[in-house]
Amino acid sequence: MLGMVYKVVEQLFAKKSTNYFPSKYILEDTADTLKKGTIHPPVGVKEGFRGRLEYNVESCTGCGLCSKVCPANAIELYPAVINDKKTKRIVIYLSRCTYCQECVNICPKNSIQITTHFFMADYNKYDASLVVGLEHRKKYELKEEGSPDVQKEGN
Amino acid sequence: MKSDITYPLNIGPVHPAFKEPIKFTFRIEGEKVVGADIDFGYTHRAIERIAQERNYIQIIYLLERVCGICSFSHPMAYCLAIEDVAGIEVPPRARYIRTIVGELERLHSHLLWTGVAAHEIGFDTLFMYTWNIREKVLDCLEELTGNRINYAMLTIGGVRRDITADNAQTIHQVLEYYEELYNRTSEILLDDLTLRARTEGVGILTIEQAERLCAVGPTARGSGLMKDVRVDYPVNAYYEILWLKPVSPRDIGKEPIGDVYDRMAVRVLEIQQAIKIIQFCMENLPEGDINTGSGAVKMINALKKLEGEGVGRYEAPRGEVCHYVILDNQEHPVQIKVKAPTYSNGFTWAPMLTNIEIADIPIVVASIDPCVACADRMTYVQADGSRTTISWEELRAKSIQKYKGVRRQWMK
Repeated sequence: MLGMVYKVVEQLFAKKSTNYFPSKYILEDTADTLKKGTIHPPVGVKEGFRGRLEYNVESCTGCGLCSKVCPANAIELYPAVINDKKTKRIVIYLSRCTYCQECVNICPKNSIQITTHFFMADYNKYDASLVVGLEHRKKYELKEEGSPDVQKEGN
Repeated sequence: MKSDITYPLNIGPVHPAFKEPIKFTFRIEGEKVVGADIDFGYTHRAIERIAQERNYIQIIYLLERVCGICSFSHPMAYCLAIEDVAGIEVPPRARYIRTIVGELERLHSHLLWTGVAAHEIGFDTLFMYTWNIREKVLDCLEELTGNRINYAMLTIGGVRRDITADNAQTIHQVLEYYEELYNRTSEILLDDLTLRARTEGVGILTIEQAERLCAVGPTARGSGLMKDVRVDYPVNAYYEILWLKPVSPRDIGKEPIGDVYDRMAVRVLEIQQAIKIIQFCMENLPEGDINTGSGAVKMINALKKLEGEGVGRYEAPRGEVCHYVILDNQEHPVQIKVKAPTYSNGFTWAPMLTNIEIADIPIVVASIDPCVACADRMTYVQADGSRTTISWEELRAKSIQKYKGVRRQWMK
């Protein structure tokens, strides 16, 4: 009995032998994770696999073609100020994305790129790891002072 | 001992024997089923209505999600319908690539079905075996298109990805793999005593019944009806495959009687046929463009100026898929109508399910490869939630009224 209590207390403070669920805790290099012997390696993907999208805010012109063709309405346009110029930029909600690559093909400046990265699980779908371009939005979004808040007016 | 009393037996809407919500009411005499009533309408998703709010390119990806397994056939029929209205000529290479992806889909769908059928009769070893060998074609599709199930391969006027030399090599490897396995797999599926005992003479659909109830696809062919959209109304590269003919259990020297075994034989033979079609297409793959070259926005703007109606027909793994669209100078179609194969095949359940035993219900229901969510229609519901039954005349009048409204809008 006493031995069991000792074991429980010992395990309570022991180093965890399993991985945390959301894959962002997994090391960039899965081979390193393997050495620790904690996870099976994922099956490799071939070139051309449709994975996580990447967004280049510098080359984007804010034309909005991507949001027009997106079948899942996963791309949101927001007003932005870059170099003192009023323009528009996008955020991509990966939780809604269907990985059809239509936005990548339509983009005239190749600002959206598709990668073969597929570790995307997370607890919160509005987290920075699942919203592409969120850090730029915080930086560049145009917040007009004194403009009426539409939602509040409506309510 | 024969009993004169019949009992009702409700199975569904949610039951582990069926993969999707559908309700059956059987009348049983002892162990024997003497009548069956089918109740649709539990999983309606209003895709036709959603499609009226989206533009022509977005609809392709919406329609991929009508059916999880026929995720190539539904957008294919839609693209054919739009190309029919707009008079778009599809380049030859694109037509061949469409055929190759379509036949790879048929291959994986039929392997999936044989696994499901084996599972329904309790032969789980075969279920594991077929689903294991199915992984190979799914990997091939992933390499070819980028996705495992919802390929996102089609666009109006062509396809979105080319078959490179590496892809071609993968396809050849996959075909070799299946050719090697075909003899062994077909032996298990067609000659195994357990499977024969459970499927022969069960769920019979005669050729007259199949014709009267408008059965399509392997269900019709299993009853001996030589009916195949690929042969009767060829599209894509099927024009050039002159040796193509509808398969039938006669090919293995058996006169079709329309039981579950015949439907299984048709599907097994179609696996072989699909391998042959892909081989033909790979050998004769022409060079050239893979689409019309105009981007998505250009295509939407071109279709915005059109009005008219178009129909697209395509042979999905389960039978004929038919899409009907009306265009009216708008960014989205005014009306889109989807006819999935189970919509036709669902009615054949009634004759199939009579005079069978209760234990055979799952395999007979699964034998048409049902896809309930694809075929589901809105059931007429009163505002207070109570259900009513409407007569055929009433339903017909309502349909005519609805389509007159649409047509008037379109014809102005």
